[in-house]
Amino acid sequence: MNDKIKIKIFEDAHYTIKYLYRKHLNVYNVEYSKSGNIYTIDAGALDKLNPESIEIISYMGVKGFLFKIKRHRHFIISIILSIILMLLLSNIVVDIDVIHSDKEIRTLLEDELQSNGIHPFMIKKSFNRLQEIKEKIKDRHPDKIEWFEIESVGMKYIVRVEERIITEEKEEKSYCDVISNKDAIVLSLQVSSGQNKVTENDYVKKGSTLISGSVTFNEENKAYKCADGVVWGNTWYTVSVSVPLKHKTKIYTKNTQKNIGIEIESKLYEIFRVHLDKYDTDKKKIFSFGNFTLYSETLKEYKTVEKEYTENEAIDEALKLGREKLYLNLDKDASILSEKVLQTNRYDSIIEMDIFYSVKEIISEQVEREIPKEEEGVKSDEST
Amino acid sequence: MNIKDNIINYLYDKNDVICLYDDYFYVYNYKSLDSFSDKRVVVDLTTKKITITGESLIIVRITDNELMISGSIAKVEMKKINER
Repeated sequence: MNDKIKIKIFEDAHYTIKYLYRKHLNVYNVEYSKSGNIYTIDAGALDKLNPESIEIISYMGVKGFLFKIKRHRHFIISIILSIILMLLLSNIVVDIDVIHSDKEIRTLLEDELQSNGIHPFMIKKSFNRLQEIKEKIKDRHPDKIEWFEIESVGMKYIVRVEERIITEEKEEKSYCDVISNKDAIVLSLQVSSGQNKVTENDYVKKGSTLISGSVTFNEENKAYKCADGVVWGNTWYTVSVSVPLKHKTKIYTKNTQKNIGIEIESKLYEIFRVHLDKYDTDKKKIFSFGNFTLYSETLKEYKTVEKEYTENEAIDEALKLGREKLYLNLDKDASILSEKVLQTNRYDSIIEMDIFYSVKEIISEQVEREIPKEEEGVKSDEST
Repeated sequence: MNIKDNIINYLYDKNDVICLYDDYFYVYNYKSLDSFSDKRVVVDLTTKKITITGESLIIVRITDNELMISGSIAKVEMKKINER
């Protein structure tokens, strides 16, 4: 065994060396010091010495290595644990962020990833495994997902997805008319196909034909085609609204309070006690880790005050409500041309109002027709 | 020295080696340590006896075939053993 050991012998140096020499023990080095000389000898020779007169300073070789490990075991274990923890943390996914504007696609992808074992607080998957999962999900939803990529950024998976948009082929209709879906006065026409039956300022009833697919010449049907176009009309509506004269409004006081909020699984907890009675909260995200989010909050105190509208205020509020109510039933392209208050009734606590609206909107609607049997020989032809 | 002696010496490393540095005296293949004190060390080789004299002489290494002495070495004297 070649392991060596450093020992301190408290005896006189001359005596010790003579003693060691007579015992045929090799002394590889002697460090002289006033506090006791340190001898480097073979570790196996330790049995030949009186243990009471020596002190082991350190081991050398394999035994010395093990001795050092034993002495520094806490430090070494903590280093190993730190490395394991670091490796573990750097390979854990704490959040999965699916980037797409459509909530439905996001939910679909989140559910699919979850069912394929990709969820927060999981160990990162290998590249090949991620590719397999991607292909599997794409194969399951060929009509919804065009392409998607899972990118590992720090402790997050960022999923970028491209939605597959399938444009439905417009069904070729052989013969159709454009009719009015409302009673209206025609304001303008844009005929793409067919023959217009009305002109501007014509009054039309609901269901009357605006653009015909039956193309006639000299009162004879020359062709049947699918009429298409947009007709804008002036329509009329009457809306009834009632506004309570007394109403509650929020008035913010100057009292505010800074706080820190913790959101755990959609539940928000305030760190400091809130001394405001009624308040609204402005939140600013500081830190997010999985389902845990830390917010910096500003709490603004408000008071609820009951107010009574004056007559003019009530009328303004009723007109505003009337417009809102009307727009709920109109298409996004529609616009109000004019409004007129037909009747106002004021009671003790309420004001009722009937309002007349003149509206510009699209009144055209395409409907399919059947070609009369006796006319079946006359086919749709672009040259007509 | 013939070839046989050369080979034996190479294989068994039987030659005595003595090295003298400023403050160190090193001997390889010594036979025995005759006596030592901080002023005088006597070492026997196979055919020679070496006497080192000086001040504060200390042994820093002593194994079966190596001996190293440190200190202020004043004189190294070597005599053939059969001269005694």
